[in-house]
Amino acid sequence: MILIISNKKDQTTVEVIKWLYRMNKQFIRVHEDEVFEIKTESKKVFLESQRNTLFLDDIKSVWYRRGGIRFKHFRYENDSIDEHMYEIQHWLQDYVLKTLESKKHINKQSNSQINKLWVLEKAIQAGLDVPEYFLAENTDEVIVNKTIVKPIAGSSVLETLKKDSYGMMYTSIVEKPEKDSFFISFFQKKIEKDFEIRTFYLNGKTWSMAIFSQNDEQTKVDFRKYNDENPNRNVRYKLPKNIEEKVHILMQTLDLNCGSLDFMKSGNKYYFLEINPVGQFGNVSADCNYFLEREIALQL
Amino acid sequence: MRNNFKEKHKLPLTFQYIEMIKNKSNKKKNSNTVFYTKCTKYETDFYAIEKPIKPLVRML
Amino acid sequence: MTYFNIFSNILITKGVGRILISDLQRNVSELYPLELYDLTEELKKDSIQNVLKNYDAASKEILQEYIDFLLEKEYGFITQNDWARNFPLLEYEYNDYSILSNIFIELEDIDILDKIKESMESLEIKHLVIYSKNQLSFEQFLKIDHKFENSPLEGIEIFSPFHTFINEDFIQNLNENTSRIYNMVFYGCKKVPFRVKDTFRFTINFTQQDLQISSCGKVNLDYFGTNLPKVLESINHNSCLHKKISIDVKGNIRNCPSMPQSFGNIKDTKLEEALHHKHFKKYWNLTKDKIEVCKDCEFRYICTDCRAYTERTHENEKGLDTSKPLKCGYDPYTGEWEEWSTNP
Repeated sequence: MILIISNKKDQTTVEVIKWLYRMNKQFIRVHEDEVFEIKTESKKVFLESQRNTLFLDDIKSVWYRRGGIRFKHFRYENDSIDEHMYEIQHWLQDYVLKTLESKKHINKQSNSQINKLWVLEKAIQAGLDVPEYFLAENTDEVIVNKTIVKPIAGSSVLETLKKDSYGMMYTSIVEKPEKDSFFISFFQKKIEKDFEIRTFYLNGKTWSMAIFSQNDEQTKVDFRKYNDENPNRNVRYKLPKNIEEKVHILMQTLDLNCGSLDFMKSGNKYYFLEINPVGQFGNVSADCNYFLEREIALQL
Repeated sequence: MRNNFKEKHKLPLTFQYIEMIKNKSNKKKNSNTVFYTKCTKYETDFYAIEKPIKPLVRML
Repeated sequence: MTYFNIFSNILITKGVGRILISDLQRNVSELYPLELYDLTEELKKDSIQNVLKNYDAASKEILQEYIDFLLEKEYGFITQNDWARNFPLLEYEYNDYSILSNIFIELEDIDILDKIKESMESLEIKHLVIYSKNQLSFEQFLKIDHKFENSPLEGIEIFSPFHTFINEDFIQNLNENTSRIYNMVFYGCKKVPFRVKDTFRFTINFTQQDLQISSCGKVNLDYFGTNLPKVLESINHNSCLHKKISIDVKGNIRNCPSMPQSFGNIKDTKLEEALHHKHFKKYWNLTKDKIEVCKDCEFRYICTDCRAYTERTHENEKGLDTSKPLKCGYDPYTGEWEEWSTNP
């Protein structure tokens, strides 16, 4: 039995499920709003929610895509009892999650979010080129027009930032020095790129797509400022063997077996930018005819 | 000026360059809009209803 | 040395008199002269400098213009030295999770849909096309749509006779109460009841033509849309019959209602059983490259084939009809469109 942990909105999950049906593989799909109780029967542990029942022993592989397994947590009247029962429930849940993560898996709930700063250091250690970066609270060390600023963490979309608008936080070029100081921000050398590369990594194998974003003023600095009318050229790409090997080392160091990596090609160099363990790869799969959703279904 | 978000504490420089986009909740719907519906088999409430990639019949 | 490379999602289809360049990412196909094909072939083998060396000054200018044009259209890009080896070609593999992709029903009684719903779901059929000889009421339209509520079916297309109850309110009501209908054609309509604007979730067509099942199989420019999955399917399989199944008005299960061979009757045969009949899939892999005349046509991968209405001139060693579709007026040898005759 395959366990899929996702949320109701995710389209990639549906695509993978379609292949699972085709391959006659059984699965259980868990939504983000399901709440599980840990129970036992005939010496076996199982989880029960409003819509699913799953025995831990039956689960042979787990795909963590979005959301997470949530548990019911009982509170008690007596403070001392409540504290005691908090510990018991916590460690029981921890045991369940650890057991699930020890099985064959694609991604894990526990490291689906990663520290971007930490990843950059590990990337350098793995031998990848990373554009010079630093943290700062003012623009004293910033070379105007040759440096970019980008968020250290979080989504680039800030919903309902103002009453009827949302905010998009793209990578931006620092155009002028700032008089005042600000909260610690991430600065990185601006690279004159030939094109960008998005690589999907799964269990040691990579599938890459080259994105020609530099001809379009709109997408030149951040290709995610998608130009829907005239989309950037997205074509198949093959990373050189030495880069592939370094990617493999990096993913292993971070205990990730699946994720999307972003690079920038400039001259002879491949600059590593970031990793998204549970990022979107639907367009890489579709534009390059890679059948990545089928690949995931095969490996579960 | 950067702190036109009226926050007490400092914000990172990224807020200086943030782009505000109006919510298009009243965007006109037409035959090219992708609609979502429920699908029991795939266990989702957001099943994308898509037109076929080719003309399935050619009567006209 | 600089090299010119065509992007791997650009498909160049060579016809007899001209070529079709299909942009499989931006979904557009355009016609160009044969000499552009010759140029791209030469540029595949050698650097721009070496290719241009072989031409006189006047030709050089023209070729340079072609290259600039290709760059402007983003059909290709320039690389230094041997960077191009990191840009692999697109593999033209076509793969789909569904066992059958669409079903075409000549509808007599709506209840037939109950009979096949379960099969449609297990075969992962994505689209349903209905041709009805009888007028359909508002309730019947709703019934058809609601039968597939919560199912994996992605779309329903309905051809039905026009009747005077159909007006803007009727259509607006359908728009608000259905979820899977994506196209409706009302035939035999003498006067269009209202001006149609694209504000509904489906497209509608009012036509004077009195459509029959035998009206199908037409080949014309309106049907030549370009997109990657469509082209991949055309390259590998028969662009109409691949993963298609149909039920005619008498309940006979065929590849399409106009094909001669029946694989059972829905009264006592399930769709899955018909699918497993020895000959059901015999036309599925007959591509345009194996069909007379079409194999030389620049439109062959964006066209949708028809095996039911053909010129009946050729047959291959397996007994499959490999003649050009009857209702195609295009002659790739002259590059001209003509009226096709309805009598073979």
